[in-house]
Amino acid sequence: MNADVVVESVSKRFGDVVAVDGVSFDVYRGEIFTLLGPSGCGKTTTLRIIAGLERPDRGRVYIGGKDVTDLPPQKRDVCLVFQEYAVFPHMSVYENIAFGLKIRRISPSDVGKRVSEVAEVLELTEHLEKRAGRVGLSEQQKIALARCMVVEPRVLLLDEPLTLVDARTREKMRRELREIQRKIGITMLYVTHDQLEALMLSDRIAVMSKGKLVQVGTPIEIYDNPQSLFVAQFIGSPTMNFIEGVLRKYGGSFILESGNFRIPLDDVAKLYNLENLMDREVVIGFRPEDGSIDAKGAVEGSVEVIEVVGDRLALHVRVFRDVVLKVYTTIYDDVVIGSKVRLSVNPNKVHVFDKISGRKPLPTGVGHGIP
Amino acid sequence: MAFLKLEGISKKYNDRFALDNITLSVEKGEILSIAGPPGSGKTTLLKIIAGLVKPTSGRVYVEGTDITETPPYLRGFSMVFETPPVYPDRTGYENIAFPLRLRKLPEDEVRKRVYEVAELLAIKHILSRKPSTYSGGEYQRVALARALVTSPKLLLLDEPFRNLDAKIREHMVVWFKQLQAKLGITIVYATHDPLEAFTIGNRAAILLNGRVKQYGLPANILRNPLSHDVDEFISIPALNTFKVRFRSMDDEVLIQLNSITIRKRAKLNTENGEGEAIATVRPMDISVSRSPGEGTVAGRVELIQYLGANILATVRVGDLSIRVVVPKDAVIREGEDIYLSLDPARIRLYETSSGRRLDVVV
Amino acid sequence: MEFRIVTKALKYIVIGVFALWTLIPLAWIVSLAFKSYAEWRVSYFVPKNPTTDNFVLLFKPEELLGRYGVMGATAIIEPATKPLINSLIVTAATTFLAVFIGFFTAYGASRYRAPGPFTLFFTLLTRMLPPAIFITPIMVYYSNLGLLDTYFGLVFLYSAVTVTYAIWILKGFIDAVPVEWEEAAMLEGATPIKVVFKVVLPLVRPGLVVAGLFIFLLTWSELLFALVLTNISAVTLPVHISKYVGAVGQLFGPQAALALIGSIIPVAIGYAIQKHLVTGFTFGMVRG
Repeated sequence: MNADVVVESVSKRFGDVVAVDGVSFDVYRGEIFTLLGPSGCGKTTTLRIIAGLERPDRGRVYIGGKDVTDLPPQKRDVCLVFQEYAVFPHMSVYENIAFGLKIRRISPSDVGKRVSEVAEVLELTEHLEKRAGRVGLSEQQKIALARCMVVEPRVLLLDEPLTLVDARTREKMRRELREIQRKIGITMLYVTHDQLEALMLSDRIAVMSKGKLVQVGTPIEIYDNPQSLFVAQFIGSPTMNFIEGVLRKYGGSFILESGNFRIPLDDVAKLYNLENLMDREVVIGFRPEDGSIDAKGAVEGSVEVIEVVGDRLALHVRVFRDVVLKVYTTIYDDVVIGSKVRLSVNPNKVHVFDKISGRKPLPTGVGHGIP
Repeated sequence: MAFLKLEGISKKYNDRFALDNITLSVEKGEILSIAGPPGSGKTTLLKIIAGLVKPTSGRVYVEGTDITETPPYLRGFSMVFETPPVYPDRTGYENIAFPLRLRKLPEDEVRKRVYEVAELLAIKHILSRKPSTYSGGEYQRVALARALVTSPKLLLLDEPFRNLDAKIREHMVVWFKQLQAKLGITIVYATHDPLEAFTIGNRAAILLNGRVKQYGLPANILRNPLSHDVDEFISIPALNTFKVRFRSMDDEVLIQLNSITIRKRAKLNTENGEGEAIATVRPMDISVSRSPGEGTVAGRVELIQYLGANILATVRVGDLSIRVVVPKDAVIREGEDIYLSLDPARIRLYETSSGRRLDVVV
Repeated sequence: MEFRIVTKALKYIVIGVFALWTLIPLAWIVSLAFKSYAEWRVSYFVPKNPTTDNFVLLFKPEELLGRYGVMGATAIIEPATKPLINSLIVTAATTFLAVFIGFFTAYGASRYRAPGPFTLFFTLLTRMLPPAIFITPIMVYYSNLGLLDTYFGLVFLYSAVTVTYAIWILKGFIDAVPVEWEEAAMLEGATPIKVVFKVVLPLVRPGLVVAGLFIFLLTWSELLFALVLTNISAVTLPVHISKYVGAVGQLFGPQAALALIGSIIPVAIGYAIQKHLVTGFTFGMVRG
């Protein structure tokens, strides 16, 4: 496989804190690979280890097939775009982009050629003569990107480059970053805490928590098939609906029992092997879009909050005393707070997790003693 | 009678209008959201209501009494700012007790009230800690507690959740809406996020460049924006905006977008029977299919971006780039040929020069 | 890997050189203070016959005179007690006055804009001229006003020149207090005066400590003004030290001994408020 970056059981501790704990993954040539996780999960440390700014305590890092673990940053064929765009406001955009090349003592004619090529791709050509401090935020971000691209590294590393720009520019930059990457086919390793950004940008996502890699997959896999409670909670906005309870079996039927209500889980039992979770505390979850308002639905509740999310409304419906479920309607539907609705759920999209370990049971037919 | 009434409020800074003739009213117990991008004048408006800034012209009334000249410390309002007033040099308890201490209330009354409000906001466990140990959500709750402890007549909130992580913010907004239902307090809530404004507010005002561009029920603004700038501001993900030609015929408008013709049942509120206009469509309102049908337009998927519940696809149709939102289980790939269709009722027309809405649904 | 060891070693060497650079003169003072007359002009550190004579003589001027004689008119006739007390009074009063005035000036400068050319920049003017230039006219004024050799005269001049530091240090701290924090208090019922005392003052306490300590140190060791403007009754410690000259020349031993005593006070104060200094310098990191 064409892996541009290979991270092999890398660990790093700072004093008593284990920042990165045995992390391994491959980044393939020409993909956008995102390390995603809440602050303090170790994603930035991992990126800094790949960039050569930190030394791992254990494990190796390979870039372009070469072991670079002991090499300084400048010899690794990578370039890092920081969170605070490192743009010199007093220099022109051209000088900013050319900065890295001049340090490398590239001949002036080559510098000019490469800068204008990169500026072309990033649509910065019309700004080249302006002072860098005078252009807009998204242009400044592009300058920072251009400074990296112009030295033609094998891998581009980006550390939350869009956190400081406003929401509208961010939406635009997310699209443009992906378009640029598609155009030049460079390998990008992207770090963010913003799950939506990861979903929108990435070819593959690695979700990290407490120094460990918890799931790697395409955006749709991560979103629609989370392998742990943590990933299910972390990905998606509005968040997944969760109901906690104890798993029971009465007369061959699986039931989620919680205080004053019981939910039949027979449909879910067709998907997962629930035997091992019997009589344990479990969490079942489903995404708001996998439930719907349905006059024939199994549960009834009253609309408590109408949350406007983009083109849709998320109705927060209280179905039991402690359970509020979200479902979507379009903005063209008339709903009022306090009205009663019935809900139904697509049983194929219901997830079950062990509450203590956060793990998901195995799907039926797998690991079931089948030779 | 409206609880709070703003009448023709204007504020000039160096001959520039920061606020231009704002007239709004808030009923007792309701939330008015003011949504506007940074620099639109939200904070100035809130500070005028609070009495921290004097308007250049216009009056502020509370329950019919003119309070324009009343100093802030006699108004009996509270305000939570984007930088919330939680003083780092004292504990949560002392912060919340601060306004009560100013009123020289007896110590056991102070204690009683602080604990009541702390209970309500679920922050009892952090009362003895200093703010530097708080999480973002806790910090905002202490700020809110401090604003609520005096039972203010009116609560002014200026982007109270702005500095929070997107995830926590979403949670706080819903939590706050539920809290307000319990409190029944009158609130003016300013935010840069129109969706947050629509979620929180019983009514919403869209403030652009110092003017109220639209005011009403959130659902009405959302479904029926009255000008192009409002439409642009409230639509997330970003709108598709096209230059079109229109021709009016009886109860119908013919909209010509390059080679595509759309017929919309609507009347135009313009003298011109035809001309150029801006048309907008939300990405959500365009549907996608794999086979051609009546009125469909062929295109090629250029870019796919996952939004979670949905997929945002950029589709190339001739020399147009059209963004559509499709459900997550619609399996489409980059480079694929697909067919787009649109319910004509969902396309909106605006006058090119003024941005005024042109089509009136009949 | 070897590269890292070399850089580390280099780092320590550089730090070591700087440490020596600052510590040697200090060590020399300590050494001198315990040396007898015979050893004042020799170049070794540890005295052969350590003595506390230098300290004792500070408080027995007659004995000191008897031992080292007189040089010109600068006879030591006073024990060192009076200058010590003078210095404490003058420095404490100056520090309080400068910080007090500085705080309110800084608050005004931070929150309001003065009209016309009255910018805060002008407060720096007193610090831009070498003191030697304006000390002569001031001496003439003081002489006419009867302020020579008085506490008031010294405190007045000292606070006038040091208030600049208080203003600039405190302005930084006050700028870091969001205006919204004051406005919220105002809405909660605080009058503008109460806002200053109940919100701003407690919040910038670390700044007051930093400014106070800085001004204390400056004033404590000030020589030139005191030398010109005092004679007998308001003589401060640095002036008094400079007066230890006998028929045998500079009396290094007693000078060092008094310098040592004089440095104990600021060191003790600095130590006592250490904690506030640290919070002072990190105040800006408090999240908003």
